Amino acid sequence: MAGVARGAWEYASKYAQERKQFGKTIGEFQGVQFQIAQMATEIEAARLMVYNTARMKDAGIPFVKEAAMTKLFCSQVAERVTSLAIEIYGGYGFTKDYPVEKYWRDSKIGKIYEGTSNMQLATIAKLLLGSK
Amino acid sequence: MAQTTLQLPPPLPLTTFTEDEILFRDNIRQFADEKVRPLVREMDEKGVFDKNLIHEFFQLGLMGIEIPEQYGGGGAKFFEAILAVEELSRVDASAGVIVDVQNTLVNNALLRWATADQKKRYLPRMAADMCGAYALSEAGSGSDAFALQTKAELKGNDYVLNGRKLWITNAKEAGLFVLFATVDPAAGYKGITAFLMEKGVRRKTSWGFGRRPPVSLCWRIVASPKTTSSVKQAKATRSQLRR
Repeated sequence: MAGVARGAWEYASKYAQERKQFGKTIGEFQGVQFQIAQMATEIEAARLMVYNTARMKDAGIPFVKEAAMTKLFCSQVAERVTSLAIEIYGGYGFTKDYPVEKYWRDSKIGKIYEGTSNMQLATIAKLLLGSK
Repeated sequence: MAQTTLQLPPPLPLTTFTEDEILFRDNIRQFADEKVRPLVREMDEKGVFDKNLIHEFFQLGLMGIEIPEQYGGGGAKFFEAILAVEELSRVDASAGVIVDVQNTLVNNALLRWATADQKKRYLPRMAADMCGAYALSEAGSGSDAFALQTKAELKGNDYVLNGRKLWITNAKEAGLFVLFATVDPAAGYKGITAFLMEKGVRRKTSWGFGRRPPVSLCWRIVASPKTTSSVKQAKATRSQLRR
C-alpha cells in the first residue's frame, strides 16, 4: 500500500507541474503544493513504519503490534493519497484515460484484505491493553 | 512505541539500506517501469494478469526471495520481500500482490511449518516456476476465519475435502494451494488444518473462476496423502490471524 500511494503521488506531482489553469501550472498554487506536501509526508511516515516493522521481524524482535499498526496506517494513507491524486487530476482523474483512478481502486482493498482495519485495531488494542 | 536496545552497531536512519538491498530495489524499480508499466492498462481492462510477466518474476528471483539458496531461492530477508512488493505496487498493485502472496503467505507458511520432505518437494518449485495461493477465506468466514466450513475427512488413506473458497489471490495461476479445512468441526480452531494441494493431482474436482480478484474455488476433492500433506494442525491458522 505504501507502493500504491507512491505510484499515485508520482503521477499527481508530475501532473501538477504540467497542467495549466489561470495562466500558470496548478503546481504553482500553494493549495496544490500543500496537498502534494501533505501526501508526501504521509507516504514518508507509512514507509518508515513498513521498514521499521520489517527490520524488527528480521531482527527477531516481537513485531505483531507494529505490523498491525503499519498495515492499518498504510491502508489509510494509500486511500487518502490516491483519492487526492484524482482530485489533482480533476475531471481527467475521474476518467479511465488517466492512471490515477486505478490506484484509488487498488487502494481500497488495503483496508479489507489480510485483516480488516477493525481487526488490526482489535489486535493493537489487545496488545496495548491486555486481553480480556 | 516499543523500544529495543541493541548492543551494536550504532543506530542508523530507517532509510539506510545495504548495497545489496539498493541493487535489488533498483533492479525491481527498473523492471517495473520498463516491463510492467506498459501492460498495466491492458491487464486492468481485461482483468487478466500477463503470464509472461509472472515468468519474468521467477526469472528475476522475485517468487522465492526468502527461500534458502539450497532450495534455489534468493536466501534474502523479509526486508527484501517488502522492497519488492513496494516497488511493484508503485506501478501495479496486482503485480505487487502476486509477489506478496507467493513470498509472505505461501513460501512463509512452507518455511515455517512444512516438514523437511515437503520443503524439499515444494520450495525449489516455488522459487523456479510454481505459483502459490493461500486458500483461507470463504463466503461465511472472512475476519472470523475460524468459522470456515470446508471439511477434510479421512476415508481410508484419502482425505476427502468438501467446500468452497472465495477471494483466493493467485488461484488462477497457482500450482500449489495452502488450503485450510477442518478435520474436526467440533474441535473449533484446533481442528483447522492446512493442506498442501497441487493443481493437477486432484482426482475429482470442479473449478469456477471469476475475474481476478476475487477468484472462487469450488471442489469436491479426493486427495491422496501422497500428494496432499497436512501442515501442522491449527498452528498455521492461529499464527495467520495473529500476524
